Amino acid sequence: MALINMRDKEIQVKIVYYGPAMGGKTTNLQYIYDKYQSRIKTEMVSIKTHGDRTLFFDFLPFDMGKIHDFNMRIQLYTVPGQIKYNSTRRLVLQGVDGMVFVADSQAEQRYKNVESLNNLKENLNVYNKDIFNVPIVMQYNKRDLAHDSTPLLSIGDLENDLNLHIKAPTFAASGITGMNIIPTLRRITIDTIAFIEKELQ
Amino acid sequence: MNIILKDDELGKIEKILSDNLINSGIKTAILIDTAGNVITYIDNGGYRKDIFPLAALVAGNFGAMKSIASILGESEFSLLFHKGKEKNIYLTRVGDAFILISVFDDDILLGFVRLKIDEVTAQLNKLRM
Amino acid sequence: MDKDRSIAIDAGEKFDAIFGEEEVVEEITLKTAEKENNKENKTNRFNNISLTQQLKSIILSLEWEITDDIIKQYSEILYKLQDKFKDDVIALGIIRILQFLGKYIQIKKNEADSRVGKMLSNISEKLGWVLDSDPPEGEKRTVFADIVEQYKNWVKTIKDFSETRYDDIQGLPQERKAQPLSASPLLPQDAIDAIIEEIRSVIRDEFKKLISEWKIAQQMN
Repeated sequence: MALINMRDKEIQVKIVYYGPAMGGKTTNLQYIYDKYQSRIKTEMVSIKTHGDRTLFFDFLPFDMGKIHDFNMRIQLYTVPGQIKYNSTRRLVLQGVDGMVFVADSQAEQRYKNVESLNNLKENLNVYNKDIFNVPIVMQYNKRDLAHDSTPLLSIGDLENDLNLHIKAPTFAASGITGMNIIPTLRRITIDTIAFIEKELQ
Repeated sequence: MNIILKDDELGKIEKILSDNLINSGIKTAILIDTAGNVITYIDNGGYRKDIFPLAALVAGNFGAMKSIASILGESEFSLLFHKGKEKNIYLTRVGDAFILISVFDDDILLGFVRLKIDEVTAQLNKLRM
Repeated sequence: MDKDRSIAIDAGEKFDAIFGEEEVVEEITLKTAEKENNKENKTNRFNNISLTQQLKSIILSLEWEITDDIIKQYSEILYKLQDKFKDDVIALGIIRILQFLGKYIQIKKNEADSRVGKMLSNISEKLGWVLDSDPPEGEKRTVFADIVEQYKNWVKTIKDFSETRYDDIQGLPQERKAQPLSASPLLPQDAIDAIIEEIRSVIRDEFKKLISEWKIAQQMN
């Protein structure tokens, strides 16, 4: 749920990157931070294990400036992907305004993607939210592995598995090369802001 | 369900914080919601650029403690206090949806912080929170 | 719809200003299976513990939480210490200061000057040292002088002390003997101020006595 400050004309927006473990959620934020830190001028907070796996969440805020009178403060979060951290994922999802589902394109992760999406639906339900009613963007990550001859799921398969009913905008991406990382962010940011503005009316 | 802070509400909240906490020994007070958004803050501790990460982390911490309490059969822990060598942090719930963060150093005892924050919380709860 | 579009355009422009415009890279999308049309879419436990240790424990409780009950325990332990060490003039002096600080906290509660907590903690630690380590007289006097100085300086900065004396108000203790402190929530503010002033002047007088005795002792050495 967005925090809307009518006096100072500011809106705080929470966007959560969700998906299976090691799928590239943290890499998304790390790429954005590494490349644009001088522009967004904020720090990234990461709570991770010794092995660099996300333990609690990554957090990256940035200011978008004024849109229709309101200053937009975007707060990006990732969740830990490992199955045992479900309670934590649920915590981080609290108050979510928009989501990026980061799917792992490797064929061997097919089941994990579906499982994670179902998990997202469940956790949203806890907050009386519905995956069809929250702005969401699908990102099919690790497309760069095609050059590695790692067996990848086709975009079609991924769409069938994950996006058949939701019909979210999709981006084929690579966190390593940066392909479509910013366009993903752009799309979810715009969609979420538009959604909030609509609710305000 | 968005949280909308109206014009005068924020003023009232800020007045309660400043009336009670200036010169109290509590260096920084931040009011946030449970999702980690910042409502408002008083900062005499020089944490300005860290206010947002603090808010996100505290919301996470608070939420995690609530889940731990639940496992223990408690609805929540009423007191969350972390003691550092020089700086300490005290977290309290305000109403159902907000958390007040107080940062103080060794000049003031926790007992006093608790008294002051109880007063602040009571006044904040009287607003529509 | 136009407003929505304009918000989207505006948001897009603002985003691009930060992140630059990046082309979306398309991948070839294979035809998916027929898409469905419908969306579907949570002590007595204290018996064997020394009095100074008990005081330490109660101070720790006060550091954690300030309640009438804990303040009552605090004043009781000070009273016991006063009784046990009634021949130790310096100890008595320190205890009197601690008693006053306790009373101040009890009455002022959350409006109490916040430095008093730390002072209470430090002074009671010094008391523990005086009573438990049996230091040489000279060292004791130095520590005591420091405590008195600290206390006097603090009193000067407390703005809300009443200067007027209300000797004739009913219910005020007339004798200048040490009394166990008790909660008196029903007294009006005036009377409470008067009690504070009363205790203050008792302490003042006792200190004068203590200091003159000490000076005599020093001259004799």
